[in-house]
Amino acid sequence: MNRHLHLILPAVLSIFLVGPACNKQSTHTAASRQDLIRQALNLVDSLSTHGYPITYRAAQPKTIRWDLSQLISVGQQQGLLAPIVFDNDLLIKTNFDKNQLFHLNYLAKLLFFPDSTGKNTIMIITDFPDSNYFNDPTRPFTGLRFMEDWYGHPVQKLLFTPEGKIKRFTPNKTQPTLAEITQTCYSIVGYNYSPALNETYTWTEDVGCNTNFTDDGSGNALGSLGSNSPGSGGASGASSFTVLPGNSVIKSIKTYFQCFTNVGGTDHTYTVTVCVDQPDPGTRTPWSFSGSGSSGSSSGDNPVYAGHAFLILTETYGYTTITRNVGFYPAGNVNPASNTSQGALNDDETHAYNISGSFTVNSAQFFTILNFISQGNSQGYLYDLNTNNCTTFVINAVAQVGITLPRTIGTWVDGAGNDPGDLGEDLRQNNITGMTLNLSGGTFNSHLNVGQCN
Amino acid sequence: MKKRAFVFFLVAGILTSCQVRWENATKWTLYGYQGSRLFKIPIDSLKMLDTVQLNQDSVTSYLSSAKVVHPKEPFLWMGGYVTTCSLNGHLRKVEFSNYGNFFYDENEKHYYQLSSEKAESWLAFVQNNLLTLARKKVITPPQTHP
Repeated sequence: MNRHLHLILPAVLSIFLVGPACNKQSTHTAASRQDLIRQALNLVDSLSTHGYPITYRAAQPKTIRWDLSQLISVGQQQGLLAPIVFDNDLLIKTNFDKNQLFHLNYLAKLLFFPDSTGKNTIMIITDFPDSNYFNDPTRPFTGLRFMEDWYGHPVQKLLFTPEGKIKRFTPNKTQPTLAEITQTCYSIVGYNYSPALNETYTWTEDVGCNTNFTDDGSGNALGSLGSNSPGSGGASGASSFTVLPGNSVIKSIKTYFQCFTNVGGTDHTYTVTVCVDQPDPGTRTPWSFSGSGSSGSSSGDNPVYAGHAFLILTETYGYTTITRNVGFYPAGNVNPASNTSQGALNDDETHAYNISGSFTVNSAQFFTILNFISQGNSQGYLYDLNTNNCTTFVINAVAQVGITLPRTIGTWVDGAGNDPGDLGEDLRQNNITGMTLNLSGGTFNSHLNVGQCN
Repeated sequence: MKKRAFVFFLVAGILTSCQVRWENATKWTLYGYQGSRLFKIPIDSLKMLDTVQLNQDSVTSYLSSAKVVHPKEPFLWMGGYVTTCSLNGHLRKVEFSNYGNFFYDENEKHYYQLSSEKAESWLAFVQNNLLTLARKKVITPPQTHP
């Protein structure tokens, strides 16, 4: 579906850029409307059986109110705009509208239209009003407009400002200048209340910051938007559209990894990044002692930082990126005197690291690594400070597909084994085949999980 | 017999008084950092980091059952969360491990353990707060060196 979007997107945008206030009632016959509804129903049925939603919102069961649909013009074609009623009570609030709660039913609509080649297309249009629009809905729409395909892949995100400007989201915009650093970031929180369970599921969507939205200018907005539409071969790069709500401990690794797709060919790219948080960055020191305790002391109450090694797993295709961080930990507390514990996989998306090495692998290799990692939560699979710690686990994971990392053994009081200090220096000093070395590391917010399908 | 009982209660009282009553701590603040400088960032430098306030009731609920522990060998840190709280009018820096169920009070240089039943829920609570902070994507100016 995406490859046809560039043919029609300018026309679609011409409708939605001018806002809901300019939508006109159709004067077309009921016969043509019924015909479009029939085509739209066929397309929805087809899409529902040929793909998987990638966002929580897209995955929600819903009813399209075709009976309330309106005919609208999409370029030279006729299209349908239909309300969506979600089966569950989905409430949304945003940080740019004083945290007012909206029912998602009132924000989301389905747009169906045949493009100029006759290919039928469906988009989900969701308007998130800002406080200006909320205070006076008679004025032109201001806020954020999401345009997504049936599965939730972002097609376009637009920011309608109170000044009447329409800004387009650019996910891979370069680092803001100093002048732009005072920025506003937008986020959306959703609530799914289940009366049967008396529970509420909460999810969060990271929409980007004002520095991600660029002013196309009202005069040439359509052209520039069209040239960057999916399938145009223009702008590439993935949108950081959704971020999973985090749990430090990964309860189900199968669920955690389920967004990844095992697809052959060259249009899906898979990357495995070995991240190392050295206890004393730039040295092979296996453990560093706390600055607050007596230096070098290993007395019981003096914190000892052992560092950590973990993996970032990424799949990229088209405009979609799926990212998951995972590290191997003991489920319980460990120290050299008590060096084993049940193993546990944790989400390391906020864990800073100072050095990393990335490898591009094929889909088979990628899933081999995932399978290896999955055993980390298995009952009886032990974390051992000396023989199967986080560093050993990472080395062994990539070794499954022939990536050989040095296995330097470090020593410490009452023990020895692989350690982040040595692995970090091994990445730095060895010219490892196929590895892209990153000496800049990552911060607590630079490698967050991306892509939601759970 | 009375002397023994007196000594017992005296020692028990002293030990109990050594344990911080975390339920009295307020203004719990989580900082945007998780890495090797966990213990090395001085408390007066934490203001350089992004912060998020932790829900007082939640923290109190988790920490009210924390017990002081004195392990024979140090627990190993593989990452952790930097927090501060206000206790008896003083700011204290407290680090929470990102695995297991222990944390460290820099002021008293003591380890504490949460009950193991609360550990997973606690880790999720802290991580979710750090993620909230991370998603704000506050960008700091690049460091300039003289």
